[in-house]
Amino acid sequence: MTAPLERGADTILALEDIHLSYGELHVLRGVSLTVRRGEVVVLIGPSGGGKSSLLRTVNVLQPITRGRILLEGEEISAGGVDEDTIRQRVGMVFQQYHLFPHLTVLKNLTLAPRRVFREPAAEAEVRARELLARVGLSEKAGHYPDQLSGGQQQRVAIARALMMKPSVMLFDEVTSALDPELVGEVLGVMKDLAKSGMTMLVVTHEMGFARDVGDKVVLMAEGVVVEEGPPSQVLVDPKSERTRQFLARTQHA
Amino acid sequence: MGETLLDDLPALLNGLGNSLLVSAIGITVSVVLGIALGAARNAGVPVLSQAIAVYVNVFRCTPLLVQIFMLYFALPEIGIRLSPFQTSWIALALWGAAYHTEIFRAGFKAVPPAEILAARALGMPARRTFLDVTLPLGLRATIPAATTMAIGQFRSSSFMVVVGYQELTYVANGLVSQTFRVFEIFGMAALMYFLTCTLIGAASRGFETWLRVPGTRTAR
Ligand SMILES: Nc1ncnc2c1ncn2[C@@H]1O[C@H](COP(=O)(O)OP(=O)(O)O)[C@@H](O)[C@H]1O
Ligand SMILES: [Mg+2]
Repeated sequence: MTAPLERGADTILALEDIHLSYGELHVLRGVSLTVRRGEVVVLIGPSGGGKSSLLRTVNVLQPITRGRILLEGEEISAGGVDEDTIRQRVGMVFQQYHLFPHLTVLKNLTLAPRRVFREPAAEAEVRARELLARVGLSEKAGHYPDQLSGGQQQRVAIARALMMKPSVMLFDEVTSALDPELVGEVLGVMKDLAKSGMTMLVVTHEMGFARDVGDKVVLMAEGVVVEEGPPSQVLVDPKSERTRQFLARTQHA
Repeated sequence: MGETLLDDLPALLNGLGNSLLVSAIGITVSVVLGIALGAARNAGVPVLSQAIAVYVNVFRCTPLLVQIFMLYFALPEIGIRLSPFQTSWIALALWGAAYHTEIFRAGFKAVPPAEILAARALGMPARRTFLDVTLPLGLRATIPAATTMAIGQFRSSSFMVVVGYQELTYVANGLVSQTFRVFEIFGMAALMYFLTCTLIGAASRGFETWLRVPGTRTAR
């Protein structure tokens, strides 16, 4: 992505000084982060650093202890917001896909829009088939999740999230559970999505993806942002010793 | 009542019909109640959840026979008079619902939280998520246990002999006291119970197979 700023400077997501504790455990210790429209922000860092927790706070699955989260300028971290409405605007894809096992691929895609937006079945199915074609799974519409490979399931999960027409998509290590030969097909779908202008916040260990697709790379460790900047800087010539350590370790892995 | 078993068959079949009738009503009501109460327990609705726990405990920890006596002989003292028919299906329903509540609660609890989370993450409200994800997945998992309980309820319809409801055991007992052909008549009644239970079991397994999701290792 050559010139991220040309994609529009308006802020989709703004995290301001986010703190989160699970009981005694202070997991997020003042995280601030901005994601602009059409931007792909890649979140990297050691396991246990709070990346998953951060994504969950954005999808209001996890209430924060302190700070503010703004989605398209609207505060979503305050009490009294309609969490369901917010979640409809924030797509989320998990490491383990979590498709609905009792529904066909097509029904996995149409369930939420039909229930939430009361979208007519026929219309939802047309959109679902379009999205399945986009992720290369047109033939699998009538299959059940357990009849698909992990890579296929994960592509279905991405399409399912896209059915809600979210303003931003969150990806939490979506290729970590996959066999190595299946990683590429999922990253390919994400790359296409990025090209189409989708705003994305991506937690991943795939440094190649971070380098090629990311507009911004953020290194998080021990609940704080250690370093952030364009991939060419953070991944190649990091300022912080902590980042250098992390990158050295991932290269050995 | 006649000379041979063949002559007694219509009466026995009539008794079986009555047993099936109260069982069908009792089982249906108890399953519906069990799903509703199990869902409330699973959701941990305050106060209601505790009240349901007390109900379950009371009906699981007192004999069915005592419950029948309470309904039939004790309730009239506070002005509620139930016919033998009403007593029979209500007893089967209340007693069975206590067990079905626990069966369905466990079934809902066994649904992977991640799949529920996935529905919530899409913006589906809690109630919708229950109906579209937790309920269908939970129900599939509970079919064997709920069937065992339903069979138990059908067999226990024989307890209704004590309130004079004309079910199979009552009819058989009457025939025996008139003809003294104990072995034949009770044998035939036992066979009827056995065959009916076998049919319920087979129907349940057929239902399970029908619901089985292609590709899954188990019925989910
Ligand atoms: N629901 C939870 N309850 C308690 N502790 C949690 C919970 N979720 C995560 N944690 C803890 O918070 C820390 C950060 O976890 P996580 O956000 O998953 O980090 P990451 O995704 O970067 O590996 C870890 O120590 C983890 O054990
Ligand atoms: Mg994580």
